[in-house]
Amino acid sequence: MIFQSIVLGFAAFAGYLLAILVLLRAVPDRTVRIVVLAAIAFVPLSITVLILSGLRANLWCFAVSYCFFTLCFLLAFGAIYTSISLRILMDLLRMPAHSIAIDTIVSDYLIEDSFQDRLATIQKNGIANRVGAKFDLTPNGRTLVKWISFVQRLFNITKSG
Amino acid sequence: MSHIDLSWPPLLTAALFSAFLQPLFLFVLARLPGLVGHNAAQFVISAVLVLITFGASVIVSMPQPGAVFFPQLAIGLMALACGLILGLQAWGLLSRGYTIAILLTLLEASRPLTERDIINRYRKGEGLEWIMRHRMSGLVAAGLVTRNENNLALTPILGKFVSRFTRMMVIVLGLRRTG
Repeated sequence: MIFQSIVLGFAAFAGYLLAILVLLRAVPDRTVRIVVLAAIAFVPLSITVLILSGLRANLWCFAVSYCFFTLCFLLAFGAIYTSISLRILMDLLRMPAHSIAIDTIVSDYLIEDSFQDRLATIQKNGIANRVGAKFDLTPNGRTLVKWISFVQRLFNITKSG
Repeated sequence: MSHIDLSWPPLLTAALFSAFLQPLFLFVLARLPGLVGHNAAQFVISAVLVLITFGASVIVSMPQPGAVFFPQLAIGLMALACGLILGLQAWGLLSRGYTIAILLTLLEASRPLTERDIINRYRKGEGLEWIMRHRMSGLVAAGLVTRNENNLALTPILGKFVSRFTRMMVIVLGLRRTG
């Protein structure tokens, strides 16, 4: 029964993976939202399919198996989607002799690209506002960042980045 | 619904108990003199302590030798891995988050900042270029790139393999941008 539940959990994960491969191509502008929401939506969906299918399984083992494979995928996805280090490696692959000047990386990717992307994201999510040439936290953003700062102090994390 | 078994797997409690102890381990480890500031080491040690706790819980909760069979142990370990992955994500965000560091820079300033101000004040005044120096030194230490004066180059085997694999994953996932 446990082994069968693990296999069915993996099958549910495979369904999730297939769904996001289609969704990411259909709606490319909402990448993170699609990946996370689809992962959550697949929990009740796959349990309903499991009940209707008449297959024998332990619910908890099925859920643990699905969560395990999905979280492993989300870990890898997060690394590929947000990692500056992996982005540098992929860009090096495109360059002649697979080499690039460090100044170019700093100016083109870090300052112009990655940094601007982050500023756009925090504005889009209502965490910070741009007024003229200046940025400031919104009231909700300030509350959120104060909580983050509190948790950092709790775990003695003095700097991040 | 009789084909759905709702009985609680015995090792799941041990796994959840062990995983919930990780924040406590991190709280203590982050204050040990030799580990202050070493966030990656703190996480690795806490994960080892979680695994030890789980192992001890398995031994204690085992009714008789050999009673724990492989599928049950696999479920326990999978549940434990779920907890560790969630912990890793949260710890990574708190200690390495690029966006979080930008937000903290805005919070600490207590006034609106221009882009240049954020770049200069990033990471309590270390500047945004710190992140690039940090990531590059990580890539060099991992043997993925070599650094010659002002140039960065992929290493011929490991660097090319990892970058090609990453590029392949980006294509498979259909991502338009990364990093």
